[in-house]
Amino acid sequence: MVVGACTESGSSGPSAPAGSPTRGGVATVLIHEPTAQDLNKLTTFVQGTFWVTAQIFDTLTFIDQEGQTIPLIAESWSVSSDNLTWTFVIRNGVVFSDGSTLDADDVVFSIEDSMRPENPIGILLSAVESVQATDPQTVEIRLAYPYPALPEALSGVNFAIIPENWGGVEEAAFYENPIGSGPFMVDPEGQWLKGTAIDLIRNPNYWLEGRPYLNGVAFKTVTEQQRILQLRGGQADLIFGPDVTQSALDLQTTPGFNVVDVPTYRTMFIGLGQGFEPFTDVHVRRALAHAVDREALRAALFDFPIISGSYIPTELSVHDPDAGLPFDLAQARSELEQSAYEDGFDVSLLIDAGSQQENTLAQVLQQQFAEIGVTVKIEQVDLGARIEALVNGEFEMIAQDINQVTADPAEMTAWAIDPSFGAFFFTGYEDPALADLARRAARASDPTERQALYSQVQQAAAEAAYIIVPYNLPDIWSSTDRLRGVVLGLGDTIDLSGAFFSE
Amino acid sequence: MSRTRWLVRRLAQAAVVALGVVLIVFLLIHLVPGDPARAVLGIAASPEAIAKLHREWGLDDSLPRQLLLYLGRLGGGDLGDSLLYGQPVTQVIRERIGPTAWLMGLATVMSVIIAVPLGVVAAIRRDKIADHLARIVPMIGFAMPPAWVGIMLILVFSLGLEWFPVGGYGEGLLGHARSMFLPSLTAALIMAPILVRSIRASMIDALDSDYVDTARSKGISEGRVLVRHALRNALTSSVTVVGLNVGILLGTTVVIERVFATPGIGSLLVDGALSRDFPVVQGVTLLLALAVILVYLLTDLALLLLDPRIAAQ
Repeated sequence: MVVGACTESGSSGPSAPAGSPTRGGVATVLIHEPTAQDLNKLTTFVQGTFWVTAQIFDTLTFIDQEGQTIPLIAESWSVSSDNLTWTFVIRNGVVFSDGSTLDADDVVFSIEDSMRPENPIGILLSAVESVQATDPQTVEIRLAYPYPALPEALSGVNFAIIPENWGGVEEAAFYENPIGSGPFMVDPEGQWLKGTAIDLIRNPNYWLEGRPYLNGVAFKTVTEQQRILQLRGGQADLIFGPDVTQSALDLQTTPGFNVVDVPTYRTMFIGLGQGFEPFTDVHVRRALAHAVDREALRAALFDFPIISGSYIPTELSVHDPDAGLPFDLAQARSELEQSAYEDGFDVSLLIDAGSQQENTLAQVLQQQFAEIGVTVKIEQVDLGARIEALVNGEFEMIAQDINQVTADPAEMTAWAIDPSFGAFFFTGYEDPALADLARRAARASDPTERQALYSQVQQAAAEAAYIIVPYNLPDIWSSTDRLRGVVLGLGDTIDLSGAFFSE
Repeated sequence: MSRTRWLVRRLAQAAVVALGVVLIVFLLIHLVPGDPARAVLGIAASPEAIAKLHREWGLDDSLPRQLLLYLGRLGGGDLGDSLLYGQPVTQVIRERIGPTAWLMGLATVMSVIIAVPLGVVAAIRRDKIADHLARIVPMIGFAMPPAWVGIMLILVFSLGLEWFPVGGYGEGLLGHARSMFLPSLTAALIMAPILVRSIRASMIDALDSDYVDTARSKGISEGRVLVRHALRNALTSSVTVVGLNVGILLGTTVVIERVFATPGIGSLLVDGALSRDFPVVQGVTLLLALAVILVYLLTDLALLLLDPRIAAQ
């Protein structure tokens, strides 16, 4: 990982920036995804919006750069001996941006609200039976069955804390002018072009003394080319990207700029659709999995990806580095010979037309699969069409990266396996025994048992090869030397509370 | 045909074209795979959240019913509400039209400023080096993709000389003018070559005409002959080319606005298409179609006023 001067490591909540921070200035952050189309933190699962909502709302817990779950709004937490009751102590003195106090009732409301079916990752709270405030600073969560990763799950922005009953207004009205306890809030006099740009200003009531240092942050969605040019031209302070291309290396060596690649919980999946006849044969799927040379892929992507054969992100402790079928062309050919497709076949691979990284991935896979007689036709479609094809299972082969927003491995497992959520990554594959094993892993309270069960799950998924994982993707961020104190965390988080402009 | 009848006929044609555009765009955007609800809520959106948005946006209705409802609203001047912005499409367009208007206006003026001197020089120096240069050099800008031209201008004038911002729209009148200079220049470099050739051809015709010989024989200075007699008549025929150029430019703005991150109508159209914001795509396309029709109509009207012979025909 390359770490530039713009990042700081977090250890206990938002970290202290290097140097002496100065107050003032508005940081312009340019990102690649539509931003702030809707600030409803519950229903939205768009990264470009998460980066904004994470500035407005706080979560009970936070994942630092070492992957540790640390206190944020919750000062501490504990679990009962039967692992069925969690007690969270709420930090004293936290107020919302309107000046009202954040207490246990707000937390209870927020968690109960998060359990609504509209929450895309509400499934992570399916163990929760009841939530209640035992005093103004204490919340008790009772579970139907043990769920050891609850504090990790509650780090997700979808579970952020909002005022009870949306502060007394309708939900839709609340999210037009949201109130949170985060370092920034929507600038009532600023620009909010939904999907394109939003101006945030400093929350004067932010609970962390003296912070934030910036007067505001402007998020804008622009193309990669413009992001790089505006950063170089002094119109932007922090940008997402460049993509894993030569541009990243070029910017890395340009004085005055920092390029940082941050590990994430982002897994790249190659899904093999069961509606495509050859992929119903496990030998064909395993042949393709053995034909993937991950080192070659990594080299083609300028060494940025982190090699992984498991669907569970490398940064999570239960990640099994031994999961995934190794690159072995002889074995790949042998597997194919055991199928009805020993002479190979033609298959289409669906990718996002706007992603240079996926384009490179597809071209390299095309070459690698050709080695065993499989001809890949690359089909580029826009993101919307690709997502529709994925969730409807209308693909032969598809490339799609998934980012999990909590530090709970059950989240990515839900995508890769859970029949009621990702449904074996929408491939149409079915394996009730594997789904059951995954459920047991998620509920195992003993860390050793949990690790062992998750290893079994990862290895079984890799052996079945309905998905092939080539690598994990880091996020690349670039900034000017002037902007300091930005914390780029795991789970694609940006903490700007300690960001400031140096003299 | 009287002018009134001519105008009525052109307006009727325009209405038919606009209706055709509306129907084609409506069908195309609805037939392309992709769900606007998922564009807003993301890949992991729950079926319940998706269904809720579908209900709110009326996407549960059949396509013919959605079309009828849309046409009904359109008849009342209502372009509907944007799915993503949650605001009336007319308001969304109003917020974005400024940058595009700047781009169109400034580009047209720049193209005329570039093309008129070059066209005149080419005509005066017919078949000489200056003529060839005046015709060939601008073609380089025409032959290059607008995105490439834009990037080159940014590299030289924004990052190199630091005269203009890399992108965006800026703030205040001066900020807008500075931000829109390079996008407009990109467009002007594409528009100018056709105009140069048109002015050159018209100027050559004019300079060979009897009325110019007459003017010269009267002892009128060469400069005055060129400007007052030849150029004035030559420009009349070039008005059509300017009009056509504006029509082409409306399409090119989509590319130019993306290159310069200009928050205008072109960017709105691309964002709307990518996120399947049907009402915005339909509204913007209709607006662009009407703008092209209007420009061509105004071009014809201008010609009618400038050249009485057209009316006589």
